[in-house]
Amino acid sequence: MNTEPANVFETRFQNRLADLISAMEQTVQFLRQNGVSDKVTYAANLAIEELTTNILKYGYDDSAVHEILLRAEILTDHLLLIIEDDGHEFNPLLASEPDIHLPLEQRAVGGLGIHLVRKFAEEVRYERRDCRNRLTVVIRY
Amino acid sequence: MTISVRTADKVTVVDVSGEVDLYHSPELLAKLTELIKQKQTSILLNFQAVTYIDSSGLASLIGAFQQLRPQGGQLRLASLSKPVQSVFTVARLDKVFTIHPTEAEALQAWGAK
Repeated sequence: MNTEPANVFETRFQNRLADLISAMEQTVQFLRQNGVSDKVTYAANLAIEELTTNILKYGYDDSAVHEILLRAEILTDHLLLIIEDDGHEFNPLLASEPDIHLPLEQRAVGGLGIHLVRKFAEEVRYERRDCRNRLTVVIRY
Repeated sequence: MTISVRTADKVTVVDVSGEVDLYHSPELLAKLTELIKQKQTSILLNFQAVTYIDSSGLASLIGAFQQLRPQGGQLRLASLSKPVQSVFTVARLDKVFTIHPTEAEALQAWGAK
């Protein structure tokens, strides 16, 4: 039985792209059903995708199945997202910022994901707790 | 995501719809690479029906631009929705890609009909 309050959505999914996409779709559906604006829903989708993709790509030292927790809380003046994984210690916020002032010919093809998350969210925090990585994202309404 | 290609005078118009995300971006890059290999040098991406783009989508466009540029080609965009435009703005790609408000304005600027 789901005992979460109505303003909370939580899901656990395996470290596979198809499962991530399904989790994102469920989260977007929850946000829309609860009247969260398109702008905030877009930012949430972007944050979940960019941060979780990094976990899938860089977070694990083995090919085993791992579980990722995704939680969305609709609070009075902001949306709170929490993403937790049991991979090795990995703080994506330590990645160097891409140089977005370079001409296109010299732009790196990748590396924009964390930059987008930082800009669309009010706050992004990383913690290592009980051998788990925990990312907290605050998106103001 | 769906992609369809048509021509308008000398411009190759690529209509994209849906989500240009991690799952679909490789398909967009593959299509643009195919067009570039066919020596299509004036490519307009009509993004009117694109509802979402992420960093992998932006990376596909940067990659296509970098393939096209040495051939003297141009990759432009038209009809970005507000949220998609905001992603380009945050990544400062609105300053380096030529983005037109509508396809008609893009074609006019390009000297096509």
